Order: sequence, then structure tokens, then C-alpha cells
Amino acid sequence: MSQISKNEISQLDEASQIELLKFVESENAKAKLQSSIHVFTDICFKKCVPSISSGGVSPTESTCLTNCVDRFLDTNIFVVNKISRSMQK
Amino acid sequence: MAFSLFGGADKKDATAGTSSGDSTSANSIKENLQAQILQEIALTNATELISKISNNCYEKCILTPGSSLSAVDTACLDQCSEKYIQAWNIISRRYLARVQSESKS
Repeated sequence: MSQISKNEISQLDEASQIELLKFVESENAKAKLQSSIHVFTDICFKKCVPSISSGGVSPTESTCLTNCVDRFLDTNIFVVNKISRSMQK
Repeated sequence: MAFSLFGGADKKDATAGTSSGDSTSANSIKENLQAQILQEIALTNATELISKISNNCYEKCILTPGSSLSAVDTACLDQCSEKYIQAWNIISRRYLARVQSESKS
């Protein structure tokens, strides 16, 4: 597959350029979500999977994993609120 | 295992149009670029997943590194990788569900 060249992009009509821009924006948003999922999985795997006894995720581990993401996000919201309140004072 | 992470299916969809018609060069340039972008994203994702699995499973499975990987080590690594990918899918589902519900409210 050829590399992206500046020349090729400038050959595109305006509609295609706008479409590409939108495509990049939406893929970028998706990539950000996926990068967060990598971070959460790393954190929660460490917390919820103490030892490797079997191949699959047990029901207990599964509950722990979902609680882990939920509480992490709650923590994030809590901190944001706390900091923004303290900055208003 | 169905694995949306690597974006294999997406890429095929994006390139399918190029090979059949190639009606205008603008279209093929655009679709080429999109396919390239999707491929790079898929590669980045795969690299990230491999690195996370290596770190986590090395920590859990290789407690005392010997002169080579033992049968016990590889069995553990095998199960650990399986577990990690399942955990990734569980967390992905939960997080995306929450993002969607919070953007509505």
C-alpha cells in the first residue's frame, strides 16, 4: 500500500476533503475510547484477577471488572466536581 | 474469536469499493487513505493489547524466571491471555454503555 502523499490530498475535491476530515475526526474519537479501554482493562485486571487458575473470566471476576470501571468513572467525576468547586471559591 | 479490535472487517469494507469501480481517481485516493488510516489504527491497537498482555501476564505467570519457559509457564500465559482479552471485552462493553447513557442524560 502506498504512503499518504500531500500531492494526492491536494488533488481531492472539496467534498472529498471534508469527508476525509470527518472520517479522521470520527476515527480519532473511536481511538480515544479504545485507548481508555486499554487503561481501564490494565487497572481492573490487576485489581480483579488475583491469580490465573482457569482460562475464562469467572462470574465473580466479571462483576468485579464491571464495578471496577464504574467506580473508576465515578471517582473521576467526583474529582472533577471537587476540583471545580474548589476553584470557584 | 470475533475480534473487532483489530478492525479487520472494517478495512475490507472500506477497500471493497475501490477494487470494484475505481470510477474516479478522487474516490480511490480517498478510499485508499481511509483504508490506510484504519489499518494504522488497528495496528496501534494490536500493539497496545500485546504490550498490556505481556506486562500483566509476565507479572502473574513468571514468578521466578528460569532458563526457559516451562510447560506450566506457557499454560499459565495461555490462560492469562485468554482472560485478559475477555476482561477487555467486558470492560469495553461496560464503558461504551456508560458513555452512551451519560451522553443522553
